[in-house]
Amino acid sequence: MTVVPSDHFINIEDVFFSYPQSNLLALDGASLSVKRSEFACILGPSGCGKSTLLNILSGLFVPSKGRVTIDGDVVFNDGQMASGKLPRIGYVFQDDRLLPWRSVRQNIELALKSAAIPKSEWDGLVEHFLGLCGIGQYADTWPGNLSGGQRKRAAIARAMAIDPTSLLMDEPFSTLDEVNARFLRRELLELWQKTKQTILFVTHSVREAVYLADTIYIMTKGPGKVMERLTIDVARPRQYEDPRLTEIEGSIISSVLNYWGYYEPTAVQG
Amino acid sequence: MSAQNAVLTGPRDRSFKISGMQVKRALLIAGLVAVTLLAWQLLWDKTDWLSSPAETWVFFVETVCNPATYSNLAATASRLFIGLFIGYIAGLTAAFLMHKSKWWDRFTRPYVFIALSTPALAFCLISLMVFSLSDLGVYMAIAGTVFPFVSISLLAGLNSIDAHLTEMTEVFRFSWFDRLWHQAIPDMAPHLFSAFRNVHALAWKVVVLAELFSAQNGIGYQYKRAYAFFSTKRLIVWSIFFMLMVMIVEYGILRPLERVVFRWRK
Amino acid sequence: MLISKKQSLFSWVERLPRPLAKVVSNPFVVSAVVGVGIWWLLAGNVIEFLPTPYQVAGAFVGAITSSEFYIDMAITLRRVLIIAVGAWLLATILGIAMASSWPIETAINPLVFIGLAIPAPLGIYFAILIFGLGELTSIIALFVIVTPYVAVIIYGGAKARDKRLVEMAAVFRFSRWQQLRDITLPELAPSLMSGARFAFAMGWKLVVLVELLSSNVGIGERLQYFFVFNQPARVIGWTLTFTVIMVFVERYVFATLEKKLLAWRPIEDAGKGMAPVA
Ligand SMILES: Nc1ncnc2c1ncn2[C@@H]1O[C@H](COP(=O)(O)OP(=O)(O)O)[C@@H](O)[C@H]1O
Ligand SMILES: [Mg+2]
Repeated sequence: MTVVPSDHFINIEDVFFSYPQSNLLALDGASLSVKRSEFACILGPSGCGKSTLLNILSGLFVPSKGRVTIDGDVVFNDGQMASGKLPRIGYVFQDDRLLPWRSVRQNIELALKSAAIPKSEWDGLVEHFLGLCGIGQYADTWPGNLSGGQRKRAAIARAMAIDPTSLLMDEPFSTLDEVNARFLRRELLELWQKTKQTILFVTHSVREAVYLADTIYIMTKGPGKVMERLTIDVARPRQYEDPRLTEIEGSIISSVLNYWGYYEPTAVQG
Repeated sequence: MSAQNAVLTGPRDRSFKISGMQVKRALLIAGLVAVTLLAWQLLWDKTDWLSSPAETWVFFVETVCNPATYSNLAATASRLFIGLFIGYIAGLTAAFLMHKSKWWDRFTRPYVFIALSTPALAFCLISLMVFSLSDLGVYMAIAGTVFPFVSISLLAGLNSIDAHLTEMTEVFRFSWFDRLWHQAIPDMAPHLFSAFRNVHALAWKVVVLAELFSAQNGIGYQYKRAYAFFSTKRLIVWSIFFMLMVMIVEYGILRPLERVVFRWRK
Repeated sequence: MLISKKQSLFSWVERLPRPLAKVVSNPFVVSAVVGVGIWWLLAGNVIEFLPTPYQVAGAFVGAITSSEFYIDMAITLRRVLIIAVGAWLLATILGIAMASSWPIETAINPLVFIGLAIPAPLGIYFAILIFGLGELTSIIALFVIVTPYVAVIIYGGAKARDKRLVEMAAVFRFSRWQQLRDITLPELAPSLMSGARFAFAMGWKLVVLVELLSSNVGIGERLQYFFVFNQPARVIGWTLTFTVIMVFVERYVFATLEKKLLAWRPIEDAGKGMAPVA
C-alpha cells in the first residue's frame, strides 16, 4: 500500500466492493489519490470497475472494505459511512441523466436548490455556466430538443454549477462523434483552467486520457485494481495531435496490450 | 434562425390543417348518423317500445331545463368522487407494499387478486347489505372494485421508474419532495394517466350499478325508473347525460392536464 | 437498518422447529391470518351487518354441497361460454376488419366508443325492452356489452403489425398459407389470447348482473334472492365459489394455453390481459 502525501485531495485506499446479488468483486483493492485542482484520468477497458469507483466516490454505494477520504475528511472506512455529510460532488454520468420533463434551467436549478445554494444566486450561476459550456441560448429548452452534444454540455454545466469539491466525469464524450468530442475536450480543459476544480475523469480511450490528464491511473482488465500511475509532463495548452502525446500513447498501449487484451482503435492513426 | 426559434419555443404549435382523409371520415360519420336518425324516425311507429326522435328530443330539453336533473347528477358525481378517493388510497397502499419487497408483494397480492376476480355486482350487493343500503355502501362498492386496478397500474408505474435518474437525484442530494415531484411522478405520469382513465371509466359504471339497488336519486336510480316506465326516451336521455359527464372529465380535465404534463415531449 | 428491525421483530420465529418456522414466516399464511383476523374483529361489532368468516365458510360449504348450486352454475357457465366464444369470434372479425380498412374503421369506431362508455345496465334494459325476458335476451345483452372491449384489444394488435415482416415474406416469396400460418397468426396471437382472456373474465363478471336483471335462473338470480332476503353470508359464499372457478380457469386453462402458444415471447409481456370490467 502506497503512502499518500497529505496534499492529496481524494484518497482511495485499498477499496473492495461487490454489487448486491453478485458474488464477483467489482473493485478488488483499488487505490488512487488525486491532488487538489488536478486533472486525473482513470483509464481502463470496459467492465474494469471505473464507473463503480465513481459511484462510490459520489456516495451511491458503500465499499465493503478500505478507506476513502476527500479533502481530509474520512468518507468511508471499512464498510462504514463515516458520520457527517458527504462532501458536495458534481457528477457527469456516462449518460446525461437530465430530467427530460424539466427545462435545462430547471434541471440546473434543482441541483442548485439541493446543494442549498441561495435562490438569489441561481440566475447568475445558470447563465454563467451555460455560457461557459456554450449553450446559454438553450436555457429554457427541454433536453429532448437538444442534440447529444448539447445535452452533455448541460450535464457538465449542472455538475460544475453546484460548486463541487470535485468533479467526477464518467466517459462523458464516448458517445459523441469524434469532431464534437474533440471540441468539447478542448473546452473542458479551458473551463477547468478557469475554475480549477479537481477533476476525476474516466475513459477507456488512451488518447483522450493522455490529452487531458495531469495524472493517469491505469486499471487492470479484471476485477478492479489500479495497475499503474503515470504523470503526463506535456505543457498546456496541448494539441490533440502533438507527437509527444502520440509517443506517450504508443508506450501506454504497448504496455497494456498484454493486460487488456484489445486494441484501442484510435491508436492506429498516430 | 427559424429552426433555432422553434427549438427555443418548445413544441411546435399545432396547425389546423385538415387533410382530405379527415374530410372523408367526417362525411362518412355524418352519413351514418343521418341514416341512423332516419331509420329511427321510420321505425319507431312499427315497434311498441321505441320512443320517437321528436319525443326524445322534447324530453331531453325538459330534462336539461329541470333543476332536479342537476341534483341527480351531483349526487352521482359526489358518490363517485368519494368512492374513487377511498379506492385510490387503498390501491396506493397496496402498490407501495407490493413494490417494497418480495415478501410484502406475496403478502398483498392475494387481496388484489381476489378483488380483481370479484364481479362489480357482487361488490355492490355485499357492500350495500353490510352498510344497510347507505351511501357508505356505494362508496365501498366503488372502492372495492377499482382498488385492484389502481394498485396494478401504480405498481407498473413504480416498476418503470428510471433507476438511473433516481441515482442522479441521490448524487445531487435532491430532497424527498423534489424526488417525488420532479422525478418519480413525471416518470410515472403515463401510467398514472392510463390508470386514471381506466379506473375512472370503471367507477362511473359501478356507481350507476350501485344506485340501481340502493339510491333514491342519481343516474342509476333514473335508469331504474326509466325501466319501470318502459321508457326508452328516459334511458336514452339519461345515457346522454352519463356520457356527457364522462366526457367532461376526459376533455375538461384529463386532456388539458395531459397537454401540460407532456408538453416536453416532441 | 430495515433488515435488523425485521430480524428482531421475527426473531421468535427462528426459535421454532424448522418446518413450523417455514409455515409461520410464509407471506401467504401471514397474509391470510392477518386478513381473516381483521375481518373477524370487524364483523358484528364495528360493522354490524358484516357476517363473520365462520358464517361465510358455512355458506360456502352449504353452496357447494347443495344440488341447486350445480344446476345454477351449469346454466351460468353455459351462458358464459357461449358469449365468450361468440364475442371473441365477432371481435376478431371486427378488429381485423377495422385495422385493414378505413371506412370500416371510421364507421365502427363510434359504435365501439359508445359500447365502451355506456354502463352495462343500460344495454341489458334495452335488450329486455326489445326481446322481452328470457335466455335470448341474456345472451344478446352480454354479447353486445362484451364485444366492443374485445374488439378494441384485437384491433390494437392488428393495427400494430410489423410491416417489415410482410416485406420480408414478399422478398422470400412466402405462399399465402405460409404468410397466414407463420406471420399473421403468430403476430396476432398475443392480442387474440388476451382478447379471449378478457372475453371470458368479462363475461364471467357480467353474467351475474345480466341474470339478476333479465333471467329467472342462474347464479345471478340466486344472488338477487339472497340480497332481497338480506343474507349477506350467502352472497359472499356464493361469490367465493365464483372466484375459485375464475382463478382456476385463469391459472390452469389460460396460463397453460399461453405458455404453449406464446412460448417465444420475452417473459415480461406475458400474463397481461386482465382489465377493468364492471
Ligand atoms: N448494477 C450492477 N450489478 C451487478 N454487477 C454490476 C453492476 N454494475 C456493474 N457491475 C459489474 O461490475 C464490474 C465493473 O463495472 P463498471 O464499474 O460499470 O465498469 P466500467 O465502468 O469500467 O465499464 C463489471 O464486471 C460489471 O459487470
Ligand atoms: Mg462505465
